[in-house]
Amino acid sequence: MTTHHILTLVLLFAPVAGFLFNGIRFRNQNGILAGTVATLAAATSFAATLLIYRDLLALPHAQREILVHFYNWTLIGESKINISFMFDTISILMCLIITGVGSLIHLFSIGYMSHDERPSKYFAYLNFFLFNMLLLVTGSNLIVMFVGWEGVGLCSYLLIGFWFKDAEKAAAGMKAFITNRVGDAGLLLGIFILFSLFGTFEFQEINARMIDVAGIPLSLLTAATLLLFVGATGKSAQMPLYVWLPDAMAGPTPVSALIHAATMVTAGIYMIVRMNPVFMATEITMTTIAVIGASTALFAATIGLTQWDIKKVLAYSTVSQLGYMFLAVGVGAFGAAMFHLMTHAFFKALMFLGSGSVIHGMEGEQDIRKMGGLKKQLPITHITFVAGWLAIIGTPLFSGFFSKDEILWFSYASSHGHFLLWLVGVVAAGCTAFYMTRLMALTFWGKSRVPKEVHPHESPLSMTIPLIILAILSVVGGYLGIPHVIGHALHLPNILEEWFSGKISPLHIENATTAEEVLLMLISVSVAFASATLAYIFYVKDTAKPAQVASKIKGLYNIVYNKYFVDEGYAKAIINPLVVFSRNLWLYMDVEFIDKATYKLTNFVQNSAEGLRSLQNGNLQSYAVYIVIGFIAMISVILF
Amino acid sequence: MFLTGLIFLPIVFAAVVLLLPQSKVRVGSLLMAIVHFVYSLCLFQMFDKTTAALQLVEKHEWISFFGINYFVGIDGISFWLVLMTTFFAPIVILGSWHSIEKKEKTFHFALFLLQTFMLGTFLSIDSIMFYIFFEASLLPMYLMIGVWGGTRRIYAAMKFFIYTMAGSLLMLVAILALIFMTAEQLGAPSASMIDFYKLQIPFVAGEVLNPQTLMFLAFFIAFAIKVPMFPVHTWLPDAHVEAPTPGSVILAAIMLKMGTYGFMRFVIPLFPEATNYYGWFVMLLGVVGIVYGALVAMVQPDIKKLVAYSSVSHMGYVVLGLFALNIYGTTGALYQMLNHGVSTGALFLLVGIIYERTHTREIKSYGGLAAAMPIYTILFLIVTMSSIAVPGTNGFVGEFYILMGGFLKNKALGSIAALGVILGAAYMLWMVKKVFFGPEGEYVKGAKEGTYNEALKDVSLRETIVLAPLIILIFWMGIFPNHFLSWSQSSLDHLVKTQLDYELPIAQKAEQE
Repeated sequence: MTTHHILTLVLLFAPVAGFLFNGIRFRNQNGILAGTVATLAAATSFAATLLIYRDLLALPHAQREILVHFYNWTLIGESKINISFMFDTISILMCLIITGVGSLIHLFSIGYMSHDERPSKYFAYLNFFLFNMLLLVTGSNLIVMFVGWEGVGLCSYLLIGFWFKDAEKAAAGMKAFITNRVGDAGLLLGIFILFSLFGTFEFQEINARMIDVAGIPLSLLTAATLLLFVGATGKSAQMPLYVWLPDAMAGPTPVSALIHAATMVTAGIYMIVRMNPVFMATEITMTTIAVIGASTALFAATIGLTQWDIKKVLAYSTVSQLGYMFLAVGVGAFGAAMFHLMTHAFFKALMFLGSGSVIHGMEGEQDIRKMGGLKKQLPITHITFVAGWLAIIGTPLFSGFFSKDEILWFSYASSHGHFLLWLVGVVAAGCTAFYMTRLMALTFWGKSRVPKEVHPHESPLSMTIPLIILAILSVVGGYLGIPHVIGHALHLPNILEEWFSGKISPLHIENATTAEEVLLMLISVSVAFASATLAYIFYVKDTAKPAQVASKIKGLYNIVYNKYFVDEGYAKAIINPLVVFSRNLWLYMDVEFIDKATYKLTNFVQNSAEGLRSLQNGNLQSYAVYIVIGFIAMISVILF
Repeated sequence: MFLTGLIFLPIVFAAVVLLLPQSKVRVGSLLMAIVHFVYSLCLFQMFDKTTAALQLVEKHEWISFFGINYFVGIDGISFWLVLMTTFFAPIVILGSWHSIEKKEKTFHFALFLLQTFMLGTFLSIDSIMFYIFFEASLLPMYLMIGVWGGTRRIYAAMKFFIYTMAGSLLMLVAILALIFMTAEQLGAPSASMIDFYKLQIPFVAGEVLNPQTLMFLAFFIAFAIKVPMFPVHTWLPDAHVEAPTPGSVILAAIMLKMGTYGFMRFVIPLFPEATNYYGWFVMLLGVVGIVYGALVAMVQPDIKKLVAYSSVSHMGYVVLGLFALNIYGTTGALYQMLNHGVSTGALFLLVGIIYERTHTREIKSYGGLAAAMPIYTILFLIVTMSSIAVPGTNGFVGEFYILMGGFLKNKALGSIAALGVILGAAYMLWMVKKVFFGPEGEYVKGAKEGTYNEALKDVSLRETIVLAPLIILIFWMGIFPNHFLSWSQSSLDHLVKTQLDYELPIAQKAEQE
């Protein structure tokens, strides 16, 4: 037991202790106690993360890896599965986000869940999620990662369906789990192929093998990475498996902030970055990821333009932002993906919690058509929300600007990049600026449309303090990764890039000049600015306009408003036929065919057995059968 | 004498049950079953897990003319199955405390008889003895379904009996043929499996009419019905639905394993060429079973029938793993046999608990049960997670290694089998949602308003005690699989590595006993 063993145990098991504490007394309705214990557990994990982080910093740059081994889970044949954990620059950043943002969200939940019937259960689940998420990012091999991967899915299922009396919410939880399972099946197969290629599940060993790819069959490697990516599309809500995330908004809002914005949904990005040398070796997979990422970014952003539920807008926004991260990964900009993952965790968690504060203040109302002018009643929520808004639309000097711009730049300039990828990204950024401004305008600005019986009020300190901290992070978080084009002029280093160097594959930039970078940056900022202005005019100044525009393009509007009918399509094309097919299997295959066939066979055997008996050829087996059947018959007569 | 004691103690207990006064039958049975379980725990002391050899062997001449002996022994393949058998007896006795309303004595008598027959099946090394125990175990189960079962119990019991009986008759012919073959090849007739393993059984690839293929088919069909594999599975849903809870639990947890155990003991080591040649087809049937069972489970209106079809799916995994013929598949399959016992056993107990309260198993009558029975819901969810193989539970370890073994052997079949991962979650969670979540259904409402006689009380202390060991096992087996697997590892390694030339040595130490 080294100190690192102890720290790892504290990191992982502080939330487990909280889970057990609240889980055992799950009927207890003292939300303050439950929430305090859970928050302390999360904070303890955060403290442990900081201590590990300190130790990591003390190491020379090239050796920043701490491997902590506990025991062998199984030892079968060639395969040894270790329960062991690895802290390096990638996983420690994830841990900091998970435990840091996680603690704030736990704190926020105390106020948010103060009127709930079952706070202990809620906090137990939330702590258990933290444990699984930490397993996912700290596991030193694919198996421990997979354990966490499914574990967070389970917690997500439980928390989405937390208010289970509502059939729709329970259904949303189920949908999330099953959709994720589709991805998980792919992930499992990918793991098997990697094992067949390398004979190990350990990340370090697999990545080390990629230094010399000669001799590794590329087709299998491509299949493996594509399958891993299928897993990522499930967990990180990318096309075509994103459908569960908007429905997941049925869960309590802090859950949406923690699980469905800041942490769990980024697991797919994390996994790919974790194995970036493997992905880098497979050109086809990289292109697929970039295309899916860019398309999802745009597709989800367009849906976000039309939604009326404050959380649904944020949900589609999350899907879209995750698309950006995959776009970054796909063009080989792993550092940029991690950077955006971090800034997004700040500003999206902020906005989800902000929406939670609004919903709390509006006594449960989520429809932005019934809001408006809330900045007066909810000043702190408003001002912090503004910080998140400025960050996500890419306002220069706010965090989202740095990270999104880096992605856009690399999607154009990287050797894996393409002008079209950049273009899709910029159009999506335009949509983002529009729907976020629309959300701000409808919720906080303009005239109040709040029904008379609702009295909006600002949330208590335990809810606004997390908002303030996250708002600060949303503003300054970007300075960890200042782009070179700006950094060089000001002599500011790109801290994040240096932090990751050696851990992620270097990026090749071809034929791109500083002038181009500046130009592209100007274009994307102007697009965002223009569409934000347009949204402001539409929803604050000339409020009749949106309806007019919508009626002009009614057909298109309806398709987008109904989310392109993807859910309906899945139901019609896959789920319903499968249920009908299964029912037919049961009624016709099992009951009609197999059973009837065996009756016929039995009759035939019986008849021929009788034939044999009449011939009296003393067939031993028939006698055996008759003896047994006779015996049974006797007992039956006696007992029945 | 240890194994003989293990096998025949329940017969003594069965006799004691008949002598007990009516009021003491349950308590007496429970105590005896616990004594038997504790006795079986001595195996941890006596069993040497470092060797693949047969241990604690006892051999006495019986019918020497045919080379039939009283011959018992244990190795890593049977080790856990034996312990599972003794483990479940106290659980089903306590679990059926109130549900067996008539002929209580006969019921416990049959139960102990069944224990002896099942243990005999797992511990016999003489094939004739194996056959006798294998067949004999049908009778008590037949009685359990036929006497204490539901409304269509006679039909279900007959179906169960005829199906399994038909299969095992083929096996008897094959066993007799093997005995003749030992007389030819080894100089003296022997019914011992150890001698069977030494035989060279002629095999012609691609033709059916040769000794090895025919015998392979005979054994295969016998065990396939028992497992049960698609397409001979239709007796199982009927048997399960009509059987009383303890019958369902024993049937699912242990009796189905007699089929897969038979694959490991007879089919794979005895007919290596045929197994390798037709293995892909068996794997295919396993995969069809996984998908078919899951799909049909999805549309069942009755909870118990759903669980029964889920058994078809889970046992499909076991077959897939076994016939992948690599260490991952075999290990996963053995683990899945135990997992299926624990999780499906627990599911049947849970379904029994709710059935005792409402006397219905129709999914659509429920809804909103989570609010009425919170602890029951938590237990049910834990078992569901085990059944759909969420990591951290036992189910994951087995399913993971089976899929890995299957995939490494045959990529296409392994990939199709992975569909089970999705479908399994679909049918279980769909059922959980309908039963536990959503607005209050007919029964929950009825119980609240007092329309029904029995209020929906949450699990009682007795029911918690029944389920607790299973819940503990779900996590223990999921978090520390090596605690369990290490006992079987030597035997499984030996089976996979020497499958083409399998021999089962007898441990030297054991013979001195």
